[in-house]
Amino acid sequence: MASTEAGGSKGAAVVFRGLRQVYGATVALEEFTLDVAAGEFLTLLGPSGSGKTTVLNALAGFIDVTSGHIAIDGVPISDLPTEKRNIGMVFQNYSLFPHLDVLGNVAFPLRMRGMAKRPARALARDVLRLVRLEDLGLRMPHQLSGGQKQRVAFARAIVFEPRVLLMDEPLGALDLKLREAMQLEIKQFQRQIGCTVIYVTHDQGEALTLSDRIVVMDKGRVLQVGTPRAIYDAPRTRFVAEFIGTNNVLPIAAGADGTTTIVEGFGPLAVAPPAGARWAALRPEVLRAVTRDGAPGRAATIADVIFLGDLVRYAARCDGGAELVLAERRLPGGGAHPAGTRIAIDVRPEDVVFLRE
Amino acid sequence: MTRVLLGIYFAIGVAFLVLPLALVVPISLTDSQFLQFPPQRLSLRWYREFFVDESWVRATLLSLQVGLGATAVALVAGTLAAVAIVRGSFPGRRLLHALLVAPLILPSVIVALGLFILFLRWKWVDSVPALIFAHAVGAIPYVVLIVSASLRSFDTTLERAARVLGAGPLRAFLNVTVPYLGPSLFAASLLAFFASFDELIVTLFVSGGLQTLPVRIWTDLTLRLDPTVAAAASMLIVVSVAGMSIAEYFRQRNVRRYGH
Repeated sequence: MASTEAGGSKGAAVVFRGLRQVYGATVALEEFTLDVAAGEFLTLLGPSGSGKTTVLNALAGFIDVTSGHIAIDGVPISDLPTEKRNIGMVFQNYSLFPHLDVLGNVAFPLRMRGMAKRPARALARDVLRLVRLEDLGLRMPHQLSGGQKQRVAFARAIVFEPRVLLMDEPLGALDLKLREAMQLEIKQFQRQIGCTVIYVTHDQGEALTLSDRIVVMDKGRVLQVGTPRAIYDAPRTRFVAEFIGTNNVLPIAAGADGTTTIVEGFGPLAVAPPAGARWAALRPEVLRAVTRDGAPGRAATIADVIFLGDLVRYAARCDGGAELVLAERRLPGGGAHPAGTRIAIDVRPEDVVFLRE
Repeated sequence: MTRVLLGIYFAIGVAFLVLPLALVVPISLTDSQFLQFPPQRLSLRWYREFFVDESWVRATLLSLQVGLGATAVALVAGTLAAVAIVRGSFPGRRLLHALLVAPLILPSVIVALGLFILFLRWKWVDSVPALIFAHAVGAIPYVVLIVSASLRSFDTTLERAARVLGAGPLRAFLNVTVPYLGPSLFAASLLAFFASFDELIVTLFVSGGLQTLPVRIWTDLTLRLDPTVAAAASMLIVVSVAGMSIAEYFRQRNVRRYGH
């Protein structure tokens, strides 16, 4: 069943319509409507309590939503029990069966679908080869490292060729280095299998790396849906602007002449604010710090220096009062301004994102 | 000084617990007609007597039969009850738990009297199935206590994983939860078995003419008193200690394997 040839979308389209989940007086999910394309890698991104896990649980059939419905490839699944939905899932703590060896774990979905033990284990071995664990088939789960468990869980979730794969913070328990390596692997596996992936995480970096599209959620509501680039470059709300990457969000007022914007604590910008805009978002990388005397820009003092290797990040305080974070690409052998350095901060008006809510 | 006093205290405690048991074994090895300590000459004649006397053998076999039956009933009923108590959210969950565990706390005489009155009304005295059910009442608390503790530490996402991977609710329980509970079920069934195998008071009330091994020992003690009783008791001790050791071994292994 598990083939390794590339291309040809074998994923299924998933449609959510007006999903709503209420627990007593608290609304866990509000009117969740979304179309996921076949073969798409979609990430639900948000802090805990944002409703992202509720969507996943509803799709897996772990909960009955208060209202709304879900269809996979046009077939409504709301009345199907979990085991009939044919969905693959990787859990946060892997949830490998402790009493089965690696092969037994990976063969489990096949056995549940009526396949005999021998061919099921043979097929499981093939999929273990895909995740490069073919030598560990006879190990017990507690003998595996975190990364190995993760790959076994992944193999188990795809061995029966589900057309939709759910991943619930699958990298949450791994350390940073391993997490980055696994992100690349997951992306690679997904391209090979071609299934639709719905991925849940609170890690914005992970979402940016992996996704075709990101759904940013907070308090049970969808705030923005878009490609990683659109979400990063054009956040629509203050929450999205601050949750994705680092951002300086400052309150604004329209200038008296109608062609400028006054950014609180920072100063005027040579552009009129869009109607209804209340904040300006300035990414650290669009702010330029210049030490030369008389350079254009807002006078500021560097308060703190964070060395990141390829980047140097400064925390600066403008004479106007605003606290800003700046990022500067560091050239090989290049230095960094020490704390206390007087600088001028400049920004191109077209790099400023205005936010209404 | 404190160490010495504690040592003495410990020795007295252990002696108090072990001496009665330790006395029975030498007495069973005597050559004489009477219960005698220390034995004058060693002999295994009372062990032979035990196996030659049909009433002893029949009592032993009945005890085994009732013990196995009661264990099976207690294991199934107790496990299902534990699942309901741990997973369920119905009113009266705590009450159910308290009722099921009560036979462990209540004086046996009271439980025995209650069962006796009930069985008389149902004309259920003098039957092996009735005895099995009576013993199961006393064995269920062990199963409920051990299995519910184990279920509480069970990560239910494992069952969810099984469900999403294609197992129905029952298969998920049998394929994932039961193997996890396995060592606990084993320990619980050993305790349940010995709760039945050693049972005297309830049996005296409800057994009618049936003689289990403890009842046989009891009647022998009140009527005749020869060293066959000591031989029977010695064998009971050996079997019980072996059973408890096996149960403890599996409990420890479980601690090592899953941390609970």
